[in-house]
Amino acid sequence: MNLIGVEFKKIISKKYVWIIALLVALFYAYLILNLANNFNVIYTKNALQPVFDEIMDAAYNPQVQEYIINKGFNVTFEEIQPMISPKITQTIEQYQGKVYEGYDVAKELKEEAALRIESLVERNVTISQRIEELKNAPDTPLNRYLLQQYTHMPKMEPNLTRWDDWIDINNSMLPLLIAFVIILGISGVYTSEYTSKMHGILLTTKNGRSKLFWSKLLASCLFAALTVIIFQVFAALLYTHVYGIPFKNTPMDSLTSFYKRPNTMWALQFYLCQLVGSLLGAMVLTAVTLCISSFCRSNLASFFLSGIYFALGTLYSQNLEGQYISSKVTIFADVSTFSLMSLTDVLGNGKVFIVGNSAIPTIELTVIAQAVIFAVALSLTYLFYNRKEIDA
Amino acid sequence: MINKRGSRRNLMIAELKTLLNTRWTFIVLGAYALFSYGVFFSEGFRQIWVQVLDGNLLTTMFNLYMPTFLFIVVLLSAAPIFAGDKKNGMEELGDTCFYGKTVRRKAKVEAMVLYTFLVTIAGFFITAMMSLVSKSPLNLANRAFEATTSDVVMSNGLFYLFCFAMILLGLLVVTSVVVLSSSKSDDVIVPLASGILIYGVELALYLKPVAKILWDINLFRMLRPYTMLLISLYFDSTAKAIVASVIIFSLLSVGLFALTINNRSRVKTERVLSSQST
Repeated sequence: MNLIGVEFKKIISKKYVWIIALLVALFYAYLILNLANNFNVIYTKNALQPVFDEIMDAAYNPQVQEYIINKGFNVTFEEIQPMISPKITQTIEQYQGKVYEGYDVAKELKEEAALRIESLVERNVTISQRIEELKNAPDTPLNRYLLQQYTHMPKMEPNLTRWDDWIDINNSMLPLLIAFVIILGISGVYTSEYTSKMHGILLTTKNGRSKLFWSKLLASCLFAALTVIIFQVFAALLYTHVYGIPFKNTPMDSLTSFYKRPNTMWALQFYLCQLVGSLLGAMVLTAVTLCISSFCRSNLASFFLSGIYFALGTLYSQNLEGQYISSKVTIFADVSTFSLMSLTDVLGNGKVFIVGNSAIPTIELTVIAQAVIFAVALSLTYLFYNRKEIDA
Repeated sequence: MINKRGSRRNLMIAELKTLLNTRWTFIVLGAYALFSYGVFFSEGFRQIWVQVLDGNLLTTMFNLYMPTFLFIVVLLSAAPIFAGDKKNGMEELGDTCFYGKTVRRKAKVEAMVLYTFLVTIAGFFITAMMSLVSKSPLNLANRAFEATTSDVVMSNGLFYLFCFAMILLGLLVVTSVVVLSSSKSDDVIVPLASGILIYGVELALYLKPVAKILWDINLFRMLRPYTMLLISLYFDSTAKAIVASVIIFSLLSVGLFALTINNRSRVKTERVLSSQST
């Protein structure tokens, strides 16, 4: 077995990593599966998916739009029923007389259908007004950026696709769980060597420590990648079981969480970006954990400091949700490893950082900052680990 | 045991001194003192970093920030208490001594309980001193959380005592879990991860109340005492929820400490097997 294989085996042979990862996964499954019996999960969106096109047509029907605007965006299903496709009514009437957990299903679905149509009309009106405001607003980098984004947004659709829930997978909990398992597995990679005095013994070997450095690095990255893949697949399976796979792709601006955000992406594209971000973030976290492990003399310090590194970015980032401008104060949270692993805040909200006369998408800064952290962490690890190397 | 230097009390004090002298205690409490200095003395720092609770800085610190720092101190000090000995090969050496195994275990657990108590007092002392020096109004006689409609009504002064009791109990539960985990493992990461896992699970159950009883009887709520006064999902009054939490968590921590002290199955079995083969 080559060195990488040996190092990888050393990481995965720690029983506690698997036990804690299993506990974490079981708890995550418990939380997600508990949502499965919720009324909203079973009926609200699923029942209306067959009439997705009809609801969209209704929201873009000038007669319906005019009626909803005149009513101040507050209408009932019965009021707009004569103007919309009868297929919507027929679909809802299939649930007539059905009661679930005290809810009259047909009544709830009528309210939901009216809300979807009304909300779509309201969103389109708001965005049109915002575009008009921006056209007449002073020529600032932020206004230029917002105008560019709002005018290039794909046509909004009713929020019935389940992408809201799927994008929420990587919002906060899953990145935290992945990071926890990675730190748990990797924080002892170098410190264990120091504790067992192997670090000194290695100086007497032919290849010294430098060859081992690359094997440890690759084995750790492999472990991190495996953790990401296992947890992402596990989460996707759970969400498929609870919510089902989204039946169609939809623009991000159609989703409630990203309403009015200057984001022109499609949900599937964003979800794939989240998966890539999760993988890249895990690699950066691995490099930082290895770096910390290489200068700490105890597992305790290594685990704790690596945890603090990730937790600080997470806490700071979670306190800033919902903004689309990065400032000098918030930029540290926006470029954190957590932000890269989640991407919900930085890329989902279409955040920008204003420098002089230009608006830079924050995601670019996040990627650059994380690449720098990765390179610096690896260089320092190499330096710390090989500092007592004897030249041949 | 009447020998002064070898008494159980002496052993416990020696363990306590070791715990108090750990660098983590000073580092984390120092970081907390620095943070609370920023909160009480710098308006700018407060505006950027602090979310003020009930319009009262002391209440804010006792409920939102101090418990987290204390949790970290307790976690870092409790994690190596047994696992560190095993790693250094000191565990079995201790067992060969006349007052080795059980007495030493008991002394370590007692020292850890006392350490948790002292650290909690230190946290409250630092915060109170900062508040007094910065001359922030204490309003001890005013009602705590006046805007809420809780069935438990208390003044700020009484509420601070309530906070002390709840935080101490919460930290003792954390300590009991970590100490038990430390006694079962020879790697310090395991008790450390167990403590973080428990905290994370309780936090998730608090943020996503999937089971009402688990939301009411929740360790995270113990470490954020104001949340215990506001609402109860499972019980019909907050007072019942508080009583239930106190009873359950007290029993749990006592049970876990007892398990730690009586944890001798592995060595005993090994000895039995060894004598049989002989």
